Amino acid sequence: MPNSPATAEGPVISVRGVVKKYGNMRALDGVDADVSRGEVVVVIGPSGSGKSTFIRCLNGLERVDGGRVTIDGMPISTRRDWQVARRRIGMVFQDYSLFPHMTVMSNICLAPVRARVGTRAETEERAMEMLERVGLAHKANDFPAALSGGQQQRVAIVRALAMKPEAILFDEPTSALDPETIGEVLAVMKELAREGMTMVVVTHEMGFAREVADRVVFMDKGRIVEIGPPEVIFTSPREDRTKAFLEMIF
Amino acid sequence: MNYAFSFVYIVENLPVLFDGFMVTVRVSVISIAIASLIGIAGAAVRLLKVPVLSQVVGAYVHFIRSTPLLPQIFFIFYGLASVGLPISSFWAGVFALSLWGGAYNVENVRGGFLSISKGLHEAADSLAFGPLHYLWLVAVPLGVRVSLPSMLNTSVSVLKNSAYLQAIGLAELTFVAMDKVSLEFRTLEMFAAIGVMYLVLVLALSIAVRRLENVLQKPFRP
Ligand SMILES: Nc1ncnc2c1ncn2[C@@H]1O[C@H](COP(=O)(O)OP(=O)(O)OP(=O)(O)O)[C@@H](O)[C@H]1O
Ligand SMILES: [Mg+2]
Repeated sequence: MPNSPATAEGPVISVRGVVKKYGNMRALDGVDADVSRGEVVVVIGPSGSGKSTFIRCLNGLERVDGGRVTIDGMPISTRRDWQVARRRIGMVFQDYSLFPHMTVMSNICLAPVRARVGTRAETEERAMEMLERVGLAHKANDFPAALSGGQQQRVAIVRALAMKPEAILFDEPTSALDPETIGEVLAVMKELAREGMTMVVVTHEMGFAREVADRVVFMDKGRIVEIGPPEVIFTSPREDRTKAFLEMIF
Repeated sequence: MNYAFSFVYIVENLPVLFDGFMVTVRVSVISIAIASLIGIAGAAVRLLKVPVLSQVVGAYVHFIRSTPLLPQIFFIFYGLASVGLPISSFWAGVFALSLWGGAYNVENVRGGFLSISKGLHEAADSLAFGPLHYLWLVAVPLGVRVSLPSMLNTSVSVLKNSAYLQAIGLAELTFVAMDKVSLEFRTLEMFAAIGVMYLVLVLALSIAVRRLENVLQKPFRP
């Protein structure tokens, strides 16, 4: 059972005192956070506040310069640790990042078959079911170039899901999309959340945050300024910086 | 002063020229194939930053590109013979041209690898691909496609540079023509004839690569 959690209780992802530096600049300056199983955490904050850096530290795309990251209770540090941990933490990118030389089906099935998450037949069957649910079964044998942005992003979500991850990270998954297609992708994400997927989502879609988030994280200057349920963060934030940011965007 | 260009002379000598033509084709095709493999393997070693090997490849590329081809050919042909490893002029030619084209192809393919967006590398990482899987499943298919035009250039140069192999006595196209010219002094006829033959070869090579490009391009057409 390669995908079974090491510990069923406790947070899926936990970070303590995480520091990430670019030269002398601290993109993350001592971040503590936990993500519990089944929880949806939405990360908001001004541009350059470290949201992407934070979420990328959660699957080792950025290696931390200080503090530690724990996945399922296991501290992760070496390259090898991360390569194993990444089977359990999926990621969806702003620019979809589908492999352009592979069909939708290959994009989805390649990694799970390789990592022996399932046999090829099982994986393809599951992929087809998931494509059907996001309304893209008819695109299974097309190449990404033949799909709209919203369709590509839905495929990218299915691709992450095909690994049967314990959590999925989303870095501004709708920021590159036309306003008309943002809804398609958000709908898929909402359904995922309803089914109990653990999610960390960086987004500017405040409607999504209010509706779906269990907790909202507000970041500024590489630190977490405030964490709380959306009702609290959006209506009566504790910190002045949170207030200022929310006033600016609404 | 009264030089009459004779097509008949060319036609009469076509069988001899054809022998040289076939030697040129064989030496070039084998060298281009090996040079392409060297290019992909060398670029892969550099991409993965394989310790020691990566530096060796870097030095090899630098050395080949900073020295003229002719001494490289002599070095291999006479050098191997002088250490007791005699080698036919054909295989010495393949050896030299493959190493020469390979060095340029390492840089060509490396350029292709570098053109792949960082996002795709990160996507592969987040799907728990190991470095070799990234190389084989993403970098090679995408990078080689991008580097095809520059690899074609290098391959055309390998083909044209096969003419240098006359210096080690390989009876390729230019050698055959020179040989005839030194006996019968039909300079214009001979060089016009082999000029056309090289042209045909380059054209055939370009068409083959265009075909390959078309095949690899298929996914990118909406
Ligand atoms: N590779 C890098 N090299 C140098 N500086 C970087 C790098 N990546 C990020 N930074 C810097 O780190 C800080 C945090 O960047 P990050 O991308 O995490 O911000 P963000 O909150 O995601 O912003 P945005 O909303 O614009 O995406 C910024 O000041 C950015 O310039
Ligand atoms: Mg960002």
